[in-house]
Amino acid sequence: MKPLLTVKGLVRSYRDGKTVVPSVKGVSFTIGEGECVGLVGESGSGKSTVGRLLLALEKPDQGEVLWQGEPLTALGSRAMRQIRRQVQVVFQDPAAALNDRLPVWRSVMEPLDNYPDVCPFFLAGVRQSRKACAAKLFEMVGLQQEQLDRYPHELSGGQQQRVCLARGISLGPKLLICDEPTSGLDVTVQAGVLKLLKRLQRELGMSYLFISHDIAAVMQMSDRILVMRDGRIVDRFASGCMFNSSRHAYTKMLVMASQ
Amino acid sequence: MLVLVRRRLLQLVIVLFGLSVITFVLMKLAPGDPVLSILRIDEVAVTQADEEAVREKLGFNKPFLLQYGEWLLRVLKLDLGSSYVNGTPVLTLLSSRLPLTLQLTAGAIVVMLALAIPLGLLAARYPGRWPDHLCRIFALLGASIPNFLLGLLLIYFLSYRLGWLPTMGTGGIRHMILPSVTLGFALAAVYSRLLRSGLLDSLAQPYIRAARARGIAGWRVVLLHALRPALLPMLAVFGMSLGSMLAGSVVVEMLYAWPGIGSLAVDAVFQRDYPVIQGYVLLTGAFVIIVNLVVDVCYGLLDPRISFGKGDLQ
Amino acid sequence: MIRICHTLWKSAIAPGPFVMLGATALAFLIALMLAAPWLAPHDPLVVQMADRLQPPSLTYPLGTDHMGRCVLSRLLLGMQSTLGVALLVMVTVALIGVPLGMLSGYIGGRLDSFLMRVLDGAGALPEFVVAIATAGFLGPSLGNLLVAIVWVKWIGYARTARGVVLSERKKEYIQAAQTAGSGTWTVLRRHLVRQVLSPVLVIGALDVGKIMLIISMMSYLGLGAQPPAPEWGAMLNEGRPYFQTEPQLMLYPGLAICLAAACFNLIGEGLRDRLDKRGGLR
Repeated sequence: MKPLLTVKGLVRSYRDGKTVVPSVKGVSFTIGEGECVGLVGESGSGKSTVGRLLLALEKPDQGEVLWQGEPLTALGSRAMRQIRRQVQVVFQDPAAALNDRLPVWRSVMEPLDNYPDVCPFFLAGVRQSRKACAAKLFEMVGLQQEQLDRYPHELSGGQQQRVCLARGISLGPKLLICDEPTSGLDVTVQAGVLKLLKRLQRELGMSYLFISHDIAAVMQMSDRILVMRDGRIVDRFASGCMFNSSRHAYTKMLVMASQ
Repeated sequence: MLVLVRRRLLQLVIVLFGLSVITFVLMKLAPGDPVLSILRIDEVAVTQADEEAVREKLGFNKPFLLQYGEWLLRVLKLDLGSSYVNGTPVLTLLSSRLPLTLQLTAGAIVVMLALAIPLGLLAARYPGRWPDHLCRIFALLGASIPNFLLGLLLIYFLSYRLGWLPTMGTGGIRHMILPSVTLGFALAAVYSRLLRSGLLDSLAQPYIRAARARGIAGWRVVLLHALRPALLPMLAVFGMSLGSMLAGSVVVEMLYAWPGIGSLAVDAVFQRDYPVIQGYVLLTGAFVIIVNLVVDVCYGLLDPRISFGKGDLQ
Repeated sequence: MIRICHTLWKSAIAPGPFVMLGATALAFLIALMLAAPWLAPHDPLVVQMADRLQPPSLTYPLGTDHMGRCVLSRLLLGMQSTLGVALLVMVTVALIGVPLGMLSGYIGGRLDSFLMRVLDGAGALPEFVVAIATAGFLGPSLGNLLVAIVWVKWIGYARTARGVVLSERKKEYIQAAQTAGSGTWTVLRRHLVRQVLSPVLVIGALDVGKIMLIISMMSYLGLGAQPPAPEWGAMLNEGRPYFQTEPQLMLYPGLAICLAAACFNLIGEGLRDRLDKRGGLR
C-alpha cells in the first residue's frame, strides 16, 4: 500500500507552570491510502495530541509529518493550505465542535466556503448553490433537510455528530481523523455512527485515523491497530490478530478490561 | 498571596506613573499661557522682562523631559505648586477641603447600607414577590435618575416647600442628611441588586439547603448562613463605586454648596486654575487606584477560592 | 444589520417583557428625536425676552424659559445632543474596543500582554476624573467631554470581548474551523463576532444610560455642552437661578433624562438576565 501519511519520531510536550510534561515521546507510523488505522490508549496516553499534530493545529517539538512523502514543515502556506483540505477531523464532543450561534448548515459549509474552487465528486451539479450542497451532505450522513436551519442545541448528540461528520467529509478529504467520535454518544447511537463512518469510508475511499479508548469500536473500524501508552506506541498489529498470544501485555490488559 | 501583592504593587507604580504623564502632558497642552495668568494676578502691566523672569523661575525654558522630571520630583515631595488665583499652596487647599468630602462620602455609605441591606435581604427572601419587584423598581430608578435631579427634588420638597432641612452649607447632622441621601441613593440601588443576587447564589448552595433540611428556616438561614458569603461580591465592586462616588460628590457639593474638593475642582476649572486641577486629578486618581489595590488584596484574603499566581490574570 | 438582529433574536436572546417595554419606549424616543426638527413648534434658540417664563399655553405647550425660548422645542431638539450623542459615543467606543479586545484575545502573546497593560493603566482612572482633567486643561466643551468618555469607555468593551474570545478560543469548534481552512480573520468574523455580540449588547445598552447621565451631569456643572445649546443637562443648569419659582424648568429636562436612561437600563438589565440564565455571560 502506498503511504498517504508518514509520521516519524514525533515528540511534543506541554508546559505546566515550571515543569515540562511530555505528552508524545517519539511516535512513528504510516497510514496507507484507503486504510483505517486505529489508535487505542487510555486517556492521557497522548493519542489526541497525535491527532492535533497531524492536523497541524500544533507543531511537534521534534520529528516530522510527511504527506505523500513531503514534510509538512517544509511547505509554504499555500501548499500547506492545499494539504490541509485533504486532512479533516471529527472531534469527540459534537456540542463543543459546533458554534452554538450558527445554524448547523453554516457549520457544515464552512470548509467549502473556505475553498470555493474545490468540488468533490459527490457534490458535482450542486456546488454552485450553498444550500443545495449542505442539503446533499445532510442526506449523505442521514440527516433531514428540515434540520439544515436548526441550531446545535436543537439537535440530539448523535445528530450533532452527524453534522460534524458532514463537515468533515465536505471537501472530499483523503484522510479523516476521528478523535473519539463516538465516546460522547449514547451506546445505541454509537453503533449507527460507526456504521455510517464505515459506509462513508467505502463510498468516498477515505483513509481514517480512528482514535479511541474503546478497543471494541477500534477493532470494528480498523484494518490495523496501534496501541499507545504514556506517549509511546507499545504494540501494533493487524486487527485480526487482536487475540494472538504474541500481543503486548498492555494490549491484553485493554482487551480484558473491555470484556 | 505575596505574588499577588507584589504584582499589584508593580502595577500600581506603572499606573501612577501613567497618571502623572497624562496629567503633565494635558497641563502642557492646556491653552493659554500660565505665565501670563500668574502675572495678571497682580493686575499690573506686564513687561517682557517680568515674563522672562517668571518663565525662568518656573523652568519653562528647559527641555520637555527635564521639565517633567523636575515636576515629578516636586510632586513626589508633595509640592503641588500654588493656586494661580490666590497663591495658596494647592496641598493646603486640598487638605483643608478633603475632610468634608470624606465626611460626605461616609454619610453616603451609611445611607447606601441603610437602604441596600434591608432591600436586598427582602428581595432575596421573597424572590419574585412584591418586595423583589420593589427592589427592582428601586434599582431601575437609582440607575436612571441623575443625582442632580434627585438633589433638586429633595431640596424643592424637603427644604423649600416643607422647610424641614437646610439646603446648603455645612454644620450639624441636619446639613448632612440631604447631601448624603443624594449621593448614596444611586449606590444603594446598585448594591441592593448585588446583595440580592449574591444571596440568591448562596441560598442555592448545598450547605444552605442542608441547613434548611435540618429545619433552620426562613430569616435565620438568610441572616446566619447566606449573608456572609453574599457580602463578598459587594466588596469587590466597592473599589469601582468609589469612582462614581467621587463623580457624584462633585455634583452634590455644587448642589448643596458643600465646600469639599469636588466643588474646589469645578471652581478651578472655571478659573483655569491649572495647579489646583492638577492637584485634584492626582489626588483622586491616586486615591482610587490605591483603594482598588487594597480592595483587591482584601478580597483575596477573604475569599480562599481565588487562586494566586498564574491563573488570575483572566 | 437585519441578519445580525435575526441571529441575535434566534440564537441568543428572545427578549422578555422588560426588554420589550424598554425597546418600545426607546423606539418611540428615537422616532421623536428624528422627527424633532418638524415636530418642534419653535426655533429652540430664538430668544423672545417679551415671552420669558410663560406658563404652558397653546403657543408654548410647556411654557418658556428665562429667555423666552420654547421649552418643548428645546426638549425635543435637545434629544440629539443627549440621547443621540450618547448612542453615537457608545457605538464609537464599541467599534474601537471590541475589535482590539477580540484580536488581542485570539492572537495572544505579546500583543495581548501589551494590551492588558494598557487596559490596566488606562482603566485604573474613573472616567469622571479623566473628564474633569480634560475639561480643566483643554477647556469645558462637549467635544472634550466626549473624548474623555471614549478614552475611558473603550476599555470595558475590549475587556469583555477579550474575555469571551479567551473562553471560546479553547473550544473545539475553533479548532474545527482552523482545520476547515479558516484563517484568523475568518474565525474572528464568522465565529467569534457573534459570540461577542450579545454580551457587548448588554454592556452597550447599560452604557448608553451611563454616558447620557455623565454628559448631562457635566453639562449641568457647566463643563459639557455649553449654552445656548439645548442639551438637557445644560437646560437644567440654565434653569438653576429660577429654581424656587419655576421648578418646571429643571423638572422637564430632568425627567426626560431619567426616562431615556430608564429605557436603556430596562433593555440592558433585561438582556443581562436572559444571558445569565443561558450562561452566556461569565
